[in-house]
Amino acid sequence: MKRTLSIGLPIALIILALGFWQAIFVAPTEATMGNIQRIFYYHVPSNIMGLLFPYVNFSASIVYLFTRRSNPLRAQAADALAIASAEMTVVFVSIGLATGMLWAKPVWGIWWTWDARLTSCLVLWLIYVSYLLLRRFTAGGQTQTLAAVLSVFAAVDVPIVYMSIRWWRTQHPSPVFFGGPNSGIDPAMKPAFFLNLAGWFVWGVVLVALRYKLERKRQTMEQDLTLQALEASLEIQQ
Amino acid sequence: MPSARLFHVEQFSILLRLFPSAFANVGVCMNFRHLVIAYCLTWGVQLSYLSLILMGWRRLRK
Repeated sequence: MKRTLSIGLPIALIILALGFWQAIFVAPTEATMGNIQRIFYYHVPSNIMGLLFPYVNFSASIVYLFTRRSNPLRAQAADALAIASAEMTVVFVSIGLATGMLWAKPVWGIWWTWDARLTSCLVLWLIYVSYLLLRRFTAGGQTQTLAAVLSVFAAVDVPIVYMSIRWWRTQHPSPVFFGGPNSGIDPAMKPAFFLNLAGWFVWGVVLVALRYKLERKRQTMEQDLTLQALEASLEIQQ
Repeated sequence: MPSARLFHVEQFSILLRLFPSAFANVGVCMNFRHLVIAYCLTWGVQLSYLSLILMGWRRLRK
């Protein structure tokens, strides 16, 4: 916990500070959109992280489903990673949606449209919010299993979000990266973009690590309390 | 394609006068306001989540 906070967090903050400086003071103004294009340096990395962490959640959920009977200790660790990455996904996708709307109003003249990318992204956000609600408000031993199954469905939406601007040509801009011969950004904009991408990645990893350790600690304390209760009830019976 | 370096002295003056009526070009002001909101919102949400995690640690330690 202390090592993650004292090493990981400062590294993330240094990269993000450099990214902020590049994005605001160094990167050139986009010719058609002007200053509002600078939202891109936070919007795109947030959305990329919002598509990356669901796969951490998916992988951890698969490990949980396969090991919950054979290796309960590993399953508990996988479950802690699943909840940490699900929360991080909600944070990043929420920021992606909000910054996207803030960009859309001056550029498109509207806050929202039921475009394929926006809608699939909203569906992803709703699935992960329901995942967290399921974990928070259901009782009983099947909660973790149900959540793991839901995360498999959520993972199906991720490639749809990614491919939506390739499969359908709607309101959202066409792919900036890997989008064909006319795609890509100006070389002068690359440092700002890649520094922010790296910074938010390190930030995300650090927060998931902190949340994972917190969840493991909570699980251990819960197990200790259960053991104490069992021991107390056995003593009463004797 | 990019046209020029941004955020020269005149843009710092925008920071000091964040009132829409002060600008003839309302579009420029809205752009800038939305940019500031987007950056503040990103940091606000991320730092809130970090503080929730740290509060969770403090609660478990008690």
